[in-house]
Amino acid sequence: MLARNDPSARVEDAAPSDPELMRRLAHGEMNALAILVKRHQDLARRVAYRFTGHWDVADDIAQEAFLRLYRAAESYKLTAAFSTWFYRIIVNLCLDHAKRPRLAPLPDKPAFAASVPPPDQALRRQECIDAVRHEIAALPERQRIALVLHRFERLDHAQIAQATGWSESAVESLLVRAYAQLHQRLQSWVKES
Amino acid sequence: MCPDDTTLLRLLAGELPDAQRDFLQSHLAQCSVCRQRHASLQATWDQLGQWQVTLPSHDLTGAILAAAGRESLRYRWYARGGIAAALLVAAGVGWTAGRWPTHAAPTVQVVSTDELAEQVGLDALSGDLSAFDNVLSIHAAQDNTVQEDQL
Repeated sequence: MLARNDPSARVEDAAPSDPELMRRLAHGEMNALAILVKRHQDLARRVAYRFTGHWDVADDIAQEAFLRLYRAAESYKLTAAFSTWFYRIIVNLCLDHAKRPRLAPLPDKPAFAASVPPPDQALRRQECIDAVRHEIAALPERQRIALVLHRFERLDHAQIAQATGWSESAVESLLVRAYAQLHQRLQSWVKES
Repeated sequence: MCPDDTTLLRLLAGELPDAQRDFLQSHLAQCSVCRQRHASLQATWDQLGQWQVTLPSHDLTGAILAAAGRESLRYRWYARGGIAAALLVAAGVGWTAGRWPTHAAPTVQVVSTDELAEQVGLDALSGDLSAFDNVLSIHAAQDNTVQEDQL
């Protein structure tokens, strides 16, 4: 048993682990849910935004992800890292969203191959980012989610396989195709820069 | 032997163990084709990295807690409603079953041997055989009754 003044005990009290918070949530402690939301909401919104391209949709997906987490608290078992498990919820919601008919069209394709270069470097940079966003949005859903997790969330291939439920070889294939497609479509920007 | 695209991706993402990374980098130094492939991937990797996301400042905690609270309340009401419905169904089934016409089994009065012996006045130990006359007279009376009914 840890002594009352044990520093490790204080740290545990100050920052309970995610599985510990899930256990508390299963016992009805809503404060545990609040801590989990504060800790992981940025991750959920970031992934959902990079996948969908819309903040309002990303917020909806993040909120639904935490409600699913709340519903699953009683049956939650620590079989993988909490973050991987939570990524999987977000990925499923993103893919569900992609199956629905689009409410709004994708943003217009920027004229990044224009012959006259913009004078302002900041403007040029913004156009480059818009091109990146547009081309990522144009990827097939599975390639897109694999790319977002790999390039922006910095998950390795095995972690992406766990988060998506796909095989590692499938993830590798998706990533290679996604990067190849993006390289081809963003080539003009790459050459100019 | 030249690395495949997956290995080059792992190199870019910093996922390779040190020994494999060093081996690959020495290969890139010697192989212009792979160096070109790596440079292309690196350029795309860097370009994607320009897309930085600034999260909106609002906090979702309040909205999520409220939604979870509503869901919990709704679940409790559903649970109560389910129990109430089950009780109503059980009560209805019980009431219906109670009103259903049934053929009651005839009641049989069980009489002990001693009682029967007492009724007919049979006392085997006494040696008084007149009690058998009583039995015979009862049976004869019953037979007459049946014959009259049949007529």
